[in-house]
Amino acid sequence: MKEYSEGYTQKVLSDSILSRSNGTFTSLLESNSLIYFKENGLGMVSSPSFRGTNASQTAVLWNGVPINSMFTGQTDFNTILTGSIDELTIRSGSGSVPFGSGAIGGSILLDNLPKFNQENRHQVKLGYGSFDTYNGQIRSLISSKNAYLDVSLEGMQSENDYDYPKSSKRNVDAAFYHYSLGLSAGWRKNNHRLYFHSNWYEGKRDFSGTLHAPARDGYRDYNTRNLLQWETYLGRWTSSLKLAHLYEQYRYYANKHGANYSFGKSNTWWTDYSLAYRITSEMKLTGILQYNNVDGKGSDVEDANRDTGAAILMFNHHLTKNWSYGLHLRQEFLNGFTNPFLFAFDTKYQVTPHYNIHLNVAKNYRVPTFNDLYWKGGGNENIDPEKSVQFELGNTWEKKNYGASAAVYYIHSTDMIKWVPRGSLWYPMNISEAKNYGVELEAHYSYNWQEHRLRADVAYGYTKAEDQDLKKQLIYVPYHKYNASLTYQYKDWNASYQVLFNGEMYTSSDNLNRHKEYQTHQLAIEYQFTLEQLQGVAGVRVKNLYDTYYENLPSRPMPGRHFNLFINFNF
Amino acid sequence: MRRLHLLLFAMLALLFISCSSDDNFVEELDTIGDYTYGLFVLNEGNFGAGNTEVSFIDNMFTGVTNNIFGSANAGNSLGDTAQSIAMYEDYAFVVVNNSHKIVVVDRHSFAFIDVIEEGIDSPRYMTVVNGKGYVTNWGDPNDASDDFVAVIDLESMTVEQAISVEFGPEKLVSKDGFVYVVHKGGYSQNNKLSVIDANSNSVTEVVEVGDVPNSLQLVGNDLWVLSEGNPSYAVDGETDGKLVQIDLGSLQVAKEFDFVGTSPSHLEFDQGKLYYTISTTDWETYETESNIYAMELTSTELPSESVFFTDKTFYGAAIKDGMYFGGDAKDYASNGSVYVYDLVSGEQLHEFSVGISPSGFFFTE
Repeated sequence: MKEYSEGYTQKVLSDSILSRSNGTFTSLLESNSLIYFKENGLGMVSSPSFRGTNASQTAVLWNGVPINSMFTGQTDFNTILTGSIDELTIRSGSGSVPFGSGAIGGSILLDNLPKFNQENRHQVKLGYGSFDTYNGQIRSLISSKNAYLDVSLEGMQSENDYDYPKSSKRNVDAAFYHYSLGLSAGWRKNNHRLYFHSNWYEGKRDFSGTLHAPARDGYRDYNTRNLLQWETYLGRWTSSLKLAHLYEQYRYYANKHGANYSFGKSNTWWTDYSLAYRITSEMKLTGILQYNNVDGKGSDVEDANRDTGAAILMFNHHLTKNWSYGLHLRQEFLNGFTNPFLFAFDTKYQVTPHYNIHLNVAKNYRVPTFNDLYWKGGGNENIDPEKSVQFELGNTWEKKNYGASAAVYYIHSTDMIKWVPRGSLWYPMNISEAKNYGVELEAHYSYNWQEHRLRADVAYGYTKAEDQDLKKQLIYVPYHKYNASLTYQYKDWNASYQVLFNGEMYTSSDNLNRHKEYQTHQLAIEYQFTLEQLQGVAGVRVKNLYDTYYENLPSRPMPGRHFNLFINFNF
Repeated sequence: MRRLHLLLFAMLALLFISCSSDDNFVEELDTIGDYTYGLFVLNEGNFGAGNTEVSFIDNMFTGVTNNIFGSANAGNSLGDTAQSIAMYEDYAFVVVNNSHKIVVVDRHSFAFIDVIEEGIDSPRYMTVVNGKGYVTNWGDPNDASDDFVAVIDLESMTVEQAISVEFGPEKLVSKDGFVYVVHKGGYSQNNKLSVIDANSNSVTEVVEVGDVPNSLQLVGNDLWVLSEGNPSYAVDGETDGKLVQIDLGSLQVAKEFDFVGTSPSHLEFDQGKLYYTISTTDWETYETESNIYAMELTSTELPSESVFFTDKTFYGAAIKDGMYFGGDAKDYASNGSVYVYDLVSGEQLHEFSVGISPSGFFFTE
């Protein structure tokens, strides 16, 4: 889908960044984007706010398959392990035409890339950190001209028993572990490609308490994802058939040491057939048909079943060497909702070799979740998808050693699903409306002198997200957020220093209660070495360098200064 | 402000309280303070956020003071999701559900005195009998077998006994050495009333009442128990509300009144009459309405006409001296309001802005 994304803001994190990350997925994205995460303590449930939108307005796709939970409509970002992923794309703003439900604030794409005809390589990663945190990974790629197999096993566990900075309390009874098995394989013959991607995940977390409530509950989740893809190239035609199965299961223990739990599980069959035709070297037309069936049940959700069909048409055109545009359309059917007709228009103009501008306008949506529809004693089967109309205007200036970009956006969401009290019960209704607008600025500079390499990066976001009923800022959306880093490399040594800032935000819808801003610092030092066939990198990372007390959510303190040692081998 | 020092109390406290280094008791208690005459409004706050607080409205209705615990205690938090307040002598006991503790404060100043945590698990309500505190506890709200009433020695402020009871003990009242506890059933449902003999601290009788009893009133030798009925997702299916009158001499149900298609709440007794509230939602317009009904004690049927109605719904409600106090939690995510109505005319007399989710009213006298 990336080739259809010229008029959008997107950032690609390569393998080399992913392989150095041995913390949580949340901390990786916090360092590399302006997404704000509401994290119930380190490693606990983590939900994103992308451009001030809510947690179910960020789409997460694994090899093109949407993986947000059928029950909550969101992905818990601390249940994603990236060790088996080759490329992570953070795409800001509109994305519902290609990606489906929830691609409003932005989309996170986790992809495995084809690896034909590469050298065999094997990787071992080991890490150890504060609070008895261990992580490790083994990954092997065996590749030949026409086939490859890439297998990865990774895991992380932590006692997570950190002292709350400047307090006598500790984060007790909050241990967690998770592990994941990833498999990616490809075969090719003549003009055919066959891929198989698989991911198994299991996690168990004892949930953290708060400053005022002891840690009592716990959570287990288990997910599997399997995808078979068959691509055929025939002259100007490209055909791709995808068949995926997703299984999702969670168990929530109100008493983590007890035997009682509530649960939800769902099976999704997802198929996608795409036929692309290159009309000329400047024009491409793609038609896609999708069908999926989701079957879910749980202790709080009656048997739920949904069929969805979608037809997508995408046209892309390079008008001139410097000017391109795309027009994309999507219509869903079968699912019983009043489905909006979705469109997306984007264009990019290369004004000079170093300067370009882009624009996109789109209508996006989010479908109600199984919880919204079928929750016992509250679910409302009469609700419809949320809609949002949005645009973005951006420009980028890129020279050899430095560059900068700026973008403004506007998102008008209507029919937003909100659970509201009616008498003694709560019901979800399409009653909320929000307008989000903001500015994102980014700049980088690098300087090389002999064997010294210096790079500076800074990103800043201003986010206004206003509830249209109350005319107040939405809760848990900071107005200001920035991150900045400075990296210095000399021969085999590499040092980096990073600052993250989250501005003040409101915790009540009348904007009378506030949550304090915070800033944290991180220092990392790495050393690269070669031992015969073995290439390696070893390092230490110090997080929250100045032992700052901060809370991500009220009365949930995050850890003070803590350490992380890691060593990675490649052979 | 006049301060009287309770020197004797302090001496007794020194004698009887085993004074470890982290014992935090105040050596003097006020008998009159800022919060002596009026009503405490309990603001439940948001579950998990640790923002529960207490507001105070004086009995002349001159104004409201919010965050009185934080103000009296150097900005400290009261805890997470307080459920109720009990008052005894010069103490106020704030029962803090999700912090699993009872915070003991000077009821006149709200200054912290002590905290009771040991032996408390998901506490709900408290009453005092013969100088002992009786606190209902849910334990694990999904577990029907670990529920208990904790008995607190108010000299040492420690739990001295746990009385195992039926699932989900909620509100309780006492009379003549007996404690009467209704059982809502934790996160599920129940329909019981337990009778505890405070001399032997044992359950002497269990009486069946309506499904999900939410409030009770003691009038003369009768106990009136109001039940809201099972919700639609209950395993046994949805049921209607019920009001029962229990004779405390025989512990027999003297009268029962069935509601039809409605779910009543907030049973109150004032100036010789019983009152309850029914909130309804119009599913076409999603508009809500609360009707307040009055019933004579001798009535043989439920009243057909309400005394007054309002378009608000009340999370907490109480009636005293001919006035109806309603706590409007609004969206439960912002500061709520307290409305005071004249019980005869339905006229709104006062409005006060309080904390998040006003869930209970506790009068000082």
